[in-house]
Amino acid sequence: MEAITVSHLRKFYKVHKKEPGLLGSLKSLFARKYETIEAVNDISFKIDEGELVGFIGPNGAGKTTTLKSLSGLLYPDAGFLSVLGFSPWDKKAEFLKQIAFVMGQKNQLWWDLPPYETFILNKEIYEVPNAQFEQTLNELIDLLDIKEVMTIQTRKLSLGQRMKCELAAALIHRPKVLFLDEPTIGLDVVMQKKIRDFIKEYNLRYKATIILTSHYMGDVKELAKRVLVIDKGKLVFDGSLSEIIAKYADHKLISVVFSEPVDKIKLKKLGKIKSFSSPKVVLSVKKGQTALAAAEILKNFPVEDLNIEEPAIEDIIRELFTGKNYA
Amino acid sequence: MKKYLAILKTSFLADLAYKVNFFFYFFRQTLQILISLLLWRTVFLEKLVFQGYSFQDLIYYFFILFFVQTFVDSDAAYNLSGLIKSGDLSNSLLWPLSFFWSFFSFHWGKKVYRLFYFLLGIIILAAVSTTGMNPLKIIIFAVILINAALLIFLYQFFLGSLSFWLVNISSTLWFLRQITDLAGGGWLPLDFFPKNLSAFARVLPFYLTVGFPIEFFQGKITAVLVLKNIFSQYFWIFILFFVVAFLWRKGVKEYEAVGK
Repeated sequence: MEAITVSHLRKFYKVHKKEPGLLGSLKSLFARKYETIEAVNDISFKIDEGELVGFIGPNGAGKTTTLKSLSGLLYPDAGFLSVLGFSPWDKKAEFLKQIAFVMGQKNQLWWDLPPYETFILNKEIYEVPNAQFEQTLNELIDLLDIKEVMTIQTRKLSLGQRMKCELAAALIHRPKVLFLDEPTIGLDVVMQKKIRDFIKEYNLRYKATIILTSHYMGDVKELAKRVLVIDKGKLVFDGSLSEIIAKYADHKLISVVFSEPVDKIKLKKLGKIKSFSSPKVVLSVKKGQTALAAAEILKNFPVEDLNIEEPAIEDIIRELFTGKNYA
Repeated sequence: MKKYLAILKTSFLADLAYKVNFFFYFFRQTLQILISLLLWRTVFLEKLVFQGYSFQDLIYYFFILFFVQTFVDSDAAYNLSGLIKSGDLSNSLLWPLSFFWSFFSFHWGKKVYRLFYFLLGIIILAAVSTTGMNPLKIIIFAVILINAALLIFLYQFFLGSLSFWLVNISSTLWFLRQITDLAGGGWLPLDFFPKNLSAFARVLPFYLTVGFPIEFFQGKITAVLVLKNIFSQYFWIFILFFVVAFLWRKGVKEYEAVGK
């Protein structure tokens, strides 16, 4: 069953342009110049119940705008949206009780109070029965390891501790649909891993539908089977990560360790040299020609070790965003 | 209802984290009264009665003013504008609640412990009152004050929601505040204004928020006028309620949920 349907969503912003400096400010007092930004322009996709989908794209691509429209925070300019059968903008209580939106750069925890107070408040706001609250909270404390920090004033917590408590606060009412906007931003690798494991666990345990945006490919690689790539307000790819690789990576990498110094010019004939730090060389070779190139190298050079690899997903995505050949 | 009480409680707890802040609020207000009294002292050196007020009456006026303002005063516009500007409004918009009443509860939660000082002050002032206090008068006074607080809250909510369109309005808010304070009797008794001006100020709704409660407490107005003014309070509350609801619906559509 579909949990989320987005059809031809469009959201444009009007931003006021100001020339730099005092003179610019004065000018803009009288004649304001506006510019329209196409944050989201005609996007359509469907997400099934229980699916965990990664939403990626460069800064300003329209990811957050889409999530905000799906949670009812933004009024779409055009298009049809349905989340759990509700139209988000109506902000029906039954709808809001089933979703949560975690923004990695914003906090919903009360700054001057310990996180526990926010949990209690959310329990009341979402009308969570006592028994369910106790159970959910205990599970969250356990999964996120926040027992110790729950009673410390929020502003005294570290970013990682706070983020874990943010997640807990957003999940007290066991939302069926979860929008996670950069949940691991600014966290160290250990904490990133913990948050990832938790999201995976929550998805499985509660069959929750999750959309996750992140700049860390690690998040997406580890969590999402399906990826939506968005750029300049347009959906440019919808499929699995392996499909991205199959579709956009037109080359493979051959990394070779040589036993003695080799001639760079000779190597160049076989493929594009990505890095050359003797004795290790990485060559980028067109997909169909990899086997041939590898054989050539083995035959003509003093090879100690040779590996053929897919390019890193980060590189493919980066090339995708900078090269812009989505066809 | 329980949900809104939970918000009120949380907001009260959050405010308790800054007890010293409240103490200084109290201190600042007292200082302000003393300074104005010092200035007025020079006027009263020349005459014993000015516009129907003796110096003692004026002292009394300022103290009622202080406690009335402790109860009715509101920085809701400033808070709301901040929420809109920073995008923090998103958090509350995601709650399955009415934003208006959530914000109302939040607002009163921050005032809970001012109320303690308010009650203390009003009891003292009632005790030294020369115009006589009785239970009925106290009940009517309570009604007037609650209306006044609601009126100010609605007015401030109205100003705050302008932030949907005019992003930075803090200095406009400050300016408006001075004007409305002056027109409402928050700087000095309206009787001190020239006749025409004071008559005009009494027609404006700002009078109903500060000047009217004080004058009622002083026992300066007739029963008919009291009823008429209470009716006016309800009239303005009614009007503002619709204006605010209308603006809110429009504004939320404009909301850009900034902050990323």
